Amino acid sequence: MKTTRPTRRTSLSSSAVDVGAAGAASSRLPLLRFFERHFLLVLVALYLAAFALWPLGQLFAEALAPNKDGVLFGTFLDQWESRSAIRALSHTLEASFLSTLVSVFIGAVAAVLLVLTDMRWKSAIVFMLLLPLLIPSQIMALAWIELTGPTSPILAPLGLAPEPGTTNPLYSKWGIVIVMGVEHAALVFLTVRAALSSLPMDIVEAARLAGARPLRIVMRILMPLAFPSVLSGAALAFVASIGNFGVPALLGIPGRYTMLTTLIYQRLQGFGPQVLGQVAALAVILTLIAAAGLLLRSLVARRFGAAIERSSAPLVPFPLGRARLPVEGVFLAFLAVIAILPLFALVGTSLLPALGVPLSLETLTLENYRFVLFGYEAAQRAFINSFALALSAAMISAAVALPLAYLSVIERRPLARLLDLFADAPYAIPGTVLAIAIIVVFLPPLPGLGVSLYNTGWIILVAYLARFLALVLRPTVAAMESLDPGMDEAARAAGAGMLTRLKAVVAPLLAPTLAAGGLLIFMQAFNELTVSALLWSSGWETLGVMVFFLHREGNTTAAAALATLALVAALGLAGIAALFARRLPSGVVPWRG
Amino acid sequence: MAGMTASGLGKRFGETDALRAVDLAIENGEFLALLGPSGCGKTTLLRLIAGFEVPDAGELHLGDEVVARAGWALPPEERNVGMVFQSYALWPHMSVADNVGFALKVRGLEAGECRRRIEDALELVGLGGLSRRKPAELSGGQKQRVALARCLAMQPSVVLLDEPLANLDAHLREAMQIEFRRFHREIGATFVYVTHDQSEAMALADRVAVMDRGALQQVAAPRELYAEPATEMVARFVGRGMVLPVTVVGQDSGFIVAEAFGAQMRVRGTAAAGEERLLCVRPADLALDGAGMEARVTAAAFQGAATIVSAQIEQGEHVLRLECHGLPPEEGAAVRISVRDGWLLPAGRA
Repeated sequence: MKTTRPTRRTSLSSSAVDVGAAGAASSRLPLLRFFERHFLLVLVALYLAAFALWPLGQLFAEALAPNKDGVLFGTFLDQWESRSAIRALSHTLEASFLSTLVSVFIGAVAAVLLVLTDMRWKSAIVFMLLLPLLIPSQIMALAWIELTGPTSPILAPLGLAPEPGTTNPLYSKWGIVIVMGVEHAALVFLTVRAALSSLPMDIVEAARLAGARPLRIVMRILMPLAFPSVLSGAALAFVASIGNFGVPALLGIPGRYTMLTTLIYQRLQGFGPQVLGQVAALAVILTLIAAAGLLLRSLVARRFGAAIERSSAPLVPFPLGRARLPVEGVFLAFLAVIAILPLFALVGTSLLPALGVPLSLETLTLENYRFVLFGYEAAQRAFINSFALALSAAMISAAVALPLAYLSVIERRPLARLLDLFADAPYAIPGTVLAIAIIVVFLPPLPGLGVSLYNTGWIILVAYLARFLALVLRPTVAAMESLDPGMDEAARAAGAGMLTRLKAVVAPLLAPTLAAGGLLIFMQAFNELTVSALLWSSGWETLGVMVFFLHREGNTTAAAALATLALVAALGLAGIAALFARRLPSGVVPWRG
Repeated sequence: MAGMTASGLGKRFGETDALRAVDLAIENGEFLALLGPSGCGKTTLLRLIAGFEVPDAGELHLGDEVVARAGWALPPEERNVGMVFQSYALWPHMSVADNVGFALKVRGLEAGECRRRIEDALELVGLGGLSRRKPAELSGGQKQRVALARCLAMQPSVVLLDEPLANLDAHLREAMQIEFRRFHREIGATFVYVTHDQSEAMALADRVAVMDRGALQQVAAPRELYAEPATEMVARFVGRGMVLPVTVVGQDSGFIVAEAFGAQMRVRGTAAAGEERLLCVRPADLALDGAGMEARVTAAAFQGAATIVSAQIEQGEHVLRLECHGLPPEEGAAVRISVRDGWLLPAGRA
């Protein structure tokens, strides 16, 4: 390098130009060029249109169609005449509102304590708060049922359980409110924590110089600044409650407290596809409430999104002083009761030979596990079905997200950008709504093939593909946006066509993001109940459906064993995701700030 | 290998004209620098040559082939144009050899030929032993060399360099400038080099194209650019030039005699007596020798070899900077400034 060589004729010098090689790139066939440019976009567009846009459009068409008497919007208007529909609607609003209050209380208090005080054991607290996010609703509900029922393996030995023979107190409105409130507290917590930890130290310092004490600073300065985030988290919790199926299904159906999601389920189970118009109308009502919640959230963000100068250092927590130990003790105990104790009850029940037998070393048995793993064909099938469905959904969605994000972010194709926006819709709406939309479109035989996907596993896969794409698409789009555009441009200058660039450059760079997104999909789909409860058929039971049915049939110990296995799988996957998360930009995995 | 010709090339981004009717011919094998302040359109022009942007007006030829016209552009992957990015844009998941050999694999070259060209390219940039490293294991200067090797290995007809030295520290930058000249000499390809650093442009290029607000100001060899700027913008941008309004008085043995602020001076250029023109002068062209324009010293900044003295002309608002060797005058002192050399800017292009 340091010595100047005499000019030599290397393979690189101009006179040695290899015309053949240089010409190879420009002699690409026009047909191939056209194919490369449009093929992927058309494919992705058809995919989204078939699995998401067309079903949602048809759902509205079905719901707003004239009724038997030919009245305009008759199907939809008829629902307002139906007493059960009105009752379900008011139950939905009431329970969702009350459970949102519970979520806001737990989530906001936890965020304030964690961010603004010098409390210890913060990671244990965060883990317990976010645990409900990782556990599917139906398992959470089942665990609570085991905890508070007359046969509770935890409360019965303490003499705290309800009298034998009485109904579980959770089979009621308040049961639903509490369990959904606990489950969605994490949503409020994450939003408020993010807002509080972005507050700068200097506003606190300015307040102290003005003579304010810590409590006053928290109440008069920090909380008003964090208030929009509380509203925003509340809206999220509300929308999640509206769409929740697992909790109202396990607690509300026996408690005769019907909500919209369970009413749709019961009508479809009871009368079959002939009531599709009715349930589509109910689904539209559900969508409108959810949309109102999401709209409120974006209004809050726009109205209160006052930019705070993030110039100074982050907040330093206030010391709790002598109150620290008591506060820590009370809070940890509270979280242990709402997050950990139900899980112990679930595991305890799964080890019982039969309900009502007290749990002891003599009575303890693994029979329930043997039964669900080896003794009951439907449960084995459910494992295989859920595994196959979740794996296919994860892999196909990742394979679709990559070109869609590429076309939208790097190629900036208008159609791809539009599709990118719409891809969120099937995940934002309640799962019940999506399932109805999928039935509306895929119940009739497929054009040209003459076979219907209804009553097969394929319809569940289609619904999963529509619902979960956003989970891998959002992080992929974010990663693509932070990618140095030179990565792709350098490959273009090197003569690589779009498919080569995707394969050789973009895919390897985004592989960790795609894998993490795929894992998120797998985690959600593996334990999914809301969608498959409406789409399953004999032979195509999913794990979520199986837990639900075992419990409804009264085989609660087996249900608990199956739920425990599903829980172990969910937490194991979350552990793998957490390992991944360390290598990813923050925000890709939801439980990392 | 090919030259490049742009005719009437224009590009808009929304409401702003990023490039306005640019006519530019680059010779085969030439080293051309595109120089200008940020936002002047030089990067847009480079990206049009590469094929990353589609022009809104005009035509672009690479060799004999039309590669872009209004609303259409041959995509970069079919142009055989090499580019060195400011960020280097090395693919972090590939080894140095894979980075350099990527374009060759894409072209379907057989393995032995690939290997030979990768070796030659790495040898040329002085990284012979590092072919198995990953980009993350290289220093900034080494990454720069890999980026260049990757570009050269594909034997591009035109090599585009987008501020390639902007991310290196000062002394490495100087060493790389010498290297770039050598690569250019050895490869013989056409180099188009974008920079906002005038000394870099002048040190490297055969010709410098100065751009401002989307338009070409002047295309000239570095010496000519410095001695005979074509516009006021070039005069001010290159070599810390200052511009004075003068009145042409007459001619004297090949020089123009002009008058400004009550003083007469002999300058270069072409003009007829009576014309009002602009004169480009540089700090080294001015002297404090007791004759010339009356001025008052406003500041003196010691810079080692010389002191830069700023003085405001008594009859106007103009502040002149001049190099003073020896003891500088006090601030506030009255001085007289004489013009030893200057260049009359051509008429009508102020």
